[in-house]
Amino acid sequence: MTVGSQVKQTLAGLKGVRATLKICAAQSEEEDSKTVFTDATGITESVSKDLEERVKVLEFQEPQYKGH
Amino acid sequence: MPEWINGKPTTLIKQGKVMEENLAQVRLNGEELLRELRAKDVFRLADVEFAIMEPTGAVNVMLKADKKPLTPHDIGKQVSPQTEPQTVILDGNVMDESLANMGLNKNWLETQLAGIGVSLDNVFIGQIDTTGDLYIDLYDDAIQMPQPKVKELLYANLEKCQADLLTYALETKDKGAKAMYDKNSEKLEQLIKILKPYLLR
Repeated sequence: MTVGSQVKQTLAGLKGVRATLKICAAQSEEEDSKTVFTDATGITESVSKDLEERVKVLEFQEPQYKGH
Repeated sequence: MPEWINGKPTTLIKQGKVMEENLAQVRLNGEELLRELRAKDVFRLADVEFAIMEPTGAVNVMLKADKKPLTPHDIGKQVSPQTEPQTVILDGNVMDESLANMGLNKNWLETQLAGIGVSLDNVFIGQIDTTGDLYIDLYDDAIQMPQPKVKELLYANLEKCQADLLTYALETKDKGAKAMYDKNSEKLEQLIKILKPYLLR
C-alpha cells in the first residue's frame, strides 16, 4: 500500500468520525454537550482539510496510484 | 390531623449526638436505634447528623454533609433531563403509542431491527432510552446481542486517526508535511481528551 492510499484511508476514517459527531450534536438535548460535539466537528473538519491537501500532493507524486 | 391524635415526631439524634432522654421516651434502646439506622443503610453512627422518629414509628435519617452521596450538582456537572425509558416491544408486539411518545414510528423500529439482524417476533422486550438507544431482550438467550456502541466506536476511531497521523509524521521526509501531521495529531489528541467524558460514560 502506498503512502497516498494510507492517508486516504485515514481521511475516510476521519470523515466517518465527523459524520458521527454531527449526529451526536444533533441528538444531544443538553446545551453543554451540544457545544462540545459541534466544536469537535469543526476541529475534525480542519484536520481533514489539511489531509485533503496532503493527498493532492501525494497524488501528484505518485500519479500511477491516483484514485485508489 | 391534630397532633393529639397522631402524636409528634421525636428527635433521636441531633448534631451527631444521641438524645438519650428522647430515646427513653419512645422506649427505644441503643441496640434498636442502631437497627433502625441500619435499615436506612447507615452502619456508622458517626455518619449521622440528625435522626427523627415520626409519629408512625418510622425513623428518618439525615447524614452529615460530607457523608451524603455525591450528586451531579455537587461537582458542578450539567446533566440532561432523563425521561423514563419507553417500552416499544412487548411479547413481539410493537407498542405504537410508546413509539409515538418518543417521536418515532414503526419504520424506524424495523430499520433498527434489520440493522442488528433480528426479526420482530423473536423480541421479548425492547426499550428505548432518552438518547434513542434501543435495548432488546430476545426469547432465544443463546443469541448474543450486540449492544449499542456507537460512541465507544467513535472514540476508538478518533484514537486510530490520531495514531495514523503520528505514524505519517514519523515516516515522511517532507518537512512541511511532517509539521502539518504533528500539528493535526496534537489537535486530535486535545479533542480526544475533551470528548472522553462524553463518549465513555
